[in-house]
Amino acid sequence: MKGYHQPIMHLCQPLTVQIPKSIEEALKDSGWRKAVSDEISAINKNRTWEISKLPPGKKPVRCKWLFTIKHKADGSIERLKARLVAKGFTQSYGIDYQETFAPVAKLNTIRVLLSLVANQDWPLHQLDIKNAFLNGDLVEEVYMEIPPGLETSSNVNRVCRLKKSLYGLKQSPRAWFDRFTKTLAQYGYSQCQAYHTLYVKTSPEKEIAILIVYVDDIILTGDYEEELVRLKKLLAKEFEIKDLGYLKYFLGMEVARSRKGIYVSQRKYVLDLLKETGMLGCKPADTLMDSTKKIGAENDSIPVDRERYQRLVG
Amino acid sequence: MNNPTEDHMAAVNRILGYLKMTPGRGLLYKKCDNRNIEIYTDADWAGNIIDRRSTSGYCSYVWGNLVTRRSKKQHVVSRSSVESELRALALGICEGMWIQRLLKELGMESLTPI
Repeated sequence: MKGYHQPIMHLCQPLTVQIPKSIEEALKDSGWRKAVSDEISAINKNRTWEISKLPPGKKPVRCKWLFTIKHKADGSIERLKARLVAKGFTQSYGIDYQETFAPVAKLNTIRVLLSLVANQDWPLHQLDIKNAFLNGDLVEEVYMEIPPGLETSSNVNRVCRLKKSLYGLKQSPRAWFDRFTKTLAQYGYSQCQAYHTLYVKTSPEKEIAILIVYVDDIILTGDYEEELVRLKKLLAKEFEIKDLGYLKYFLGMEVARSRKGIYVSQRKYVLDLLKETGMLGCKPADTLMDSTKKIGAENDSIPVDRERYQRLVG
Repeated sequence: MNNPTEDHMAAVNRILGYLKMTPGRGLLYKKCDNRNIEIYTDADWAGNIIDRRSTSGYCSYVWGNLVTRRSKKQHVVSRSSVESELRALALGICEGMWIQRLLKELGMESLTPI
């Protein structure tokens, strides 16, 4: 009981940092200005676009800045983040993009893996790829307007011809995933058929290295330890990665490990959900449902706010 | 889903209440002796009082640890409880075959039947 009262207190603390509503507002604050310049330097480093003239008949995609505050697991501020996103909904199919499908990891697979890991005492590592989508090569010819805040006298009436995928474009997840699969194939990893976001490499001694990717989050495990170390180095060379050490938090699951086993819970997710719905102070219930009551029996009960219900149920 | 009423909302609120009781609960994956896949299925025959369709449910264990579970309303009206149980069984087996294929690709094929 003691353990979960603490974070609730924390959630009630007032926010000291305001999220800016526009790029002009952000550039007035030194913290946010740094966040914006970090994003711009990442974009430049990846050679995301080149400035060009708009060919006749082409329509540029619009874009905007997004600002978020990244929190640590305990709720304190980790860093401020600015992200330039393309307004993908202004793209049109067949002209600006073709295929958009990209697979993502399912919790089922991760749980199957966790069971194997617990049984065989494998290590669990987690990596995070910074600016993952900026690494995806763009096949299509896409033009984007000059981002707000970056206009200069020299680029008036010019547009950005995108070379790499940008957050918000319809094909970005796919472009990134293609690039990642190709890279891993070069290292000798084969994509799992039962599960496309799982990659496996086995040594001659039947040792195994396993990788799961969820957009830009990566889990590494297996008993082929030299390969795991080598893979981390190779990935660091190819992309900009952040080594998060042992697996702690993935897809809303908190992971804790001890000699007894691996423990997985969704405590933070549950608390955030309760906070969002304003139910933190609600009366606790012992069971999920009333086993005797049948819903739908009385047709005369009063309708409620449909939107809220659907958002809650998901 | 389309016409939620106060009854539905009360059920949702009750789930939130339950969540509040149990935010720290989770799953523990530990070492076990058995190295096989186990699947348990069940069905609630004609559980929905409006259209009388049944609900299938299953949970699966890999090497002694719970990995997947699901509850799904069946598409057709079953005329007997056995019929609905069989449908649940088919759903569970489907999941089991997927897990077996996944383990095979990871080089850990279990020789014992599911």
